[in-house]
Amino acid sequence: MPTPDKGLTLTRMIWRTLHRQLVRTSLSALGVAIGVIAIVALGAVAKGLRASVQGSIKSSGSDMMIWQAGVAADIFSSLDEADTRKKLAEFSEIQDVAAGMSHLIRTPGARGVAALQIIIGIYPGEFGQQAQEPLDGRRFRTPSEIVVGYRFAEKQKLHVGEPIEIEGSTYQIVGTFRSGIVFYDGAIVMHIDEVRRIKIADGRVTSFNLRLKPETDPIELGKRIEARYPELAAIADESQYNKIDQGLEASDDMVGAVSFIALIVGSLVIANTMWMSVAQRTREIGVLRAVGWPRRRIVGMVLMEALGIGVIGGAIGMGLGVLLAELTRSLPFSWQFMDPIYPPSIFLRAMGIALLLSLVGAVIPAIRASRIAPVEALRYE
Amino acid sequence: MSKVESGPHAAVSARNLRKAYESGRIIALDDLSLDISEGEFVAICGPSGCGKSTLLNLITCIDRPDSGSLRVFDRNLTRINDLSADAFRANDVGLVFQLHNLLPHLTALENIQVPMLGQSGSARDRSQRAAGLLQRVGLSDRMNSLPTTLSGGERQRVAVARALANQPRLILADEPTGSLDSTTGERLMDLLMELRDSMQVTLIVVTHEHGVAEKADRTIRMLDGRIDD
Ligand SMILES: Nc1ncnc2c1ncn2[C@@H]1O[C@H](COP(=O)(O)OP(=O)(O)OP(=O)(O)O)[C@@H](O)[C@H]1O
Ligand SMILES: [Mg+2]
Repeated sequence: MPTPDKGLTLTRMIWRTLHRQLVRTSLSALGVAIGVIAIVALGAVAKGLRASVQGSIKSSGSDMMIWQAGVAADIFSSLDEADTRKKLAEFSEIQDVAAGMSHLIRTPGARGVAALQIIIGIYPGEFGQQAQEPLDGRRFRTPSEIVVGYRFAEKQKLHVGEPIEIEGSTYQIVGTFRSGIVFYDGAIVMHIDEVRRIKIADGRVTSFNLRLKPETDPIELGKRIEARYPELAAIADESQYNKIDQGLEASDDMVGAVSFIALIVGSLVIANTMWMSVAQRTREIGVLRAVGWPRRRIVGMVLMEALGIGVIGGAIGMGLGVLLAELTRSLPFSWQFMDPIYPPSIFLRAMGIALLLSLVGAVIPAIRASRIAPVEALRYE
Repeated sequence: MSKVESGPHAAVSARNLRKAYESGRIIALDDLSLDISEGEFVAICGPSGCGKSTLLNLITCIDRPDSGSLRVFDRNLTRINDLSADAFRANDVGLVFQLHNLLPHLTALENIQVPMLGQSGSARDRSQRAAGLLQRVGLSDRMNSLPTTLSGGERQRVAVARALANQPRLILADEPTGSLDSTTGERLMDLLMELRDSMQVTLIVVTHEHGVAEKADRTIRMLDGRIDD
């Protein structure tokens, strides 16, 4: 005689039901997953962007950055170098200043090079984006020498010692570096005068990195700089980056909007599924009522079935979301910006939304189920 | 039939039950009074549409009378609320339907546990009890079979075991042999009677079959919503 198993519980019964309607369960789980994919992928990319911005503000021991105030996007920032240096010299807390100029160029297109490429100009003597030890080779010294981020080098299969043509001039790659900041590691770093020549922007810079004397509060100093020179924007933290670029806020808003849409669409998918499922099981639910199940247990059963679909959809969505986010690393152009990161909060949020939308969607079907009378068990047509 | 005062051992005591459908156009039960003693095996017979199922539905609280009074084991069912009705069906009543009404995605053993889910005790306990009931109906070896893999007679046996799940005092079966051939039907009736004897339950069976009615302690004939005497 076979021994009885662990016994029937409501949870087991629910998994059986979901398993029995495998196709329906899978399809609705995918409906939930779509929203979760978007939430995870966009969330990871947005988190990655914030981390990279924070990294660039703090790179090479920098404490803050100075940009042109009031620009629509960071790439449009343009400051007069000499004038701004003079202004900054008034603040005794500033220890070191490093000028930087970034620009987007069309690249030669050969060997699968991206259509748009970030180039960064700095003074070889100043601290800054290439101050870290080269991975390979050395730092550049002359305007005809360049160093490149390791991601750029890998992507373009370029090596130290090789020449590269940029905007009609040939440069020698003398080193590669790894900063850990995605914008830099995908960029070409060269003498600032070369970038100015390409951009036709004599005497101008995009931004400055500042190193401050110990004990200086960068936020407080930033406020004083901006009060004295409203044309400057001082940024000591990624949360202040919205002064010069709304991209981060926009990406957060996007995650919010997608979460909301996911909630609506997912709820509708669940509502439809559960409604059909309840309708088809009128008789079975009538049997449950006839053997003494109270209405609230029927409600609980339907809600838990929906939650089960939510859990499956959430899990599928998380996996595919990570996959999609990782895919952005290899997209042309965007690979230069994309370094998705996955704090647990992203997954908690995604699972939370998956469960919430399942519950919301199942409310009306659950009420319908609870109204099924026990006499339904006795209809024989 | 005279109005007998129900004694201390009355299982069912119905007085002047009326039940109409379609705003009074169909009178399913018409001033019906009835007493059934505890431990009795009663067969209810009568032509189709005479109100047999309606009567069972009232006794099991699946439906409520329009008027009259109904007591089952000292419980007044006339104006019972839904929650108490659910508890009554879960604890005091076992139902066997004409079709087995087993849940298709659950095994025989699990189907028997469905009515037990609200009861105290661990899942393992419930499973053991269900296994014991399966043994009583002679289906220990089909514990993990799904209903679709069981024969009609076997399914009804599982349904009987499910009706016994919470040790009810009253078992109601509405044409339990209706979907079975005569030998299988007879064996099912033997099983029900054997259980009645060993578990001392009250047994009410609606049936068309003379063979079944003959085995009962008493046969109640109905006609047009009344007891036909
Ligand atoms: N839900 C309902 N709505 C309308 N009329 C109903 C309903 N249920 C039962 N009736 C009617 O009430 C009367 C009694 O029905 P009931 O089901 O009790 O008969 P029965 O004796 O069980 O018949 P059968 O032997 O065919 O099962 C019938 O005329 C039936 O059509
Ligand atoms: Mg009937």
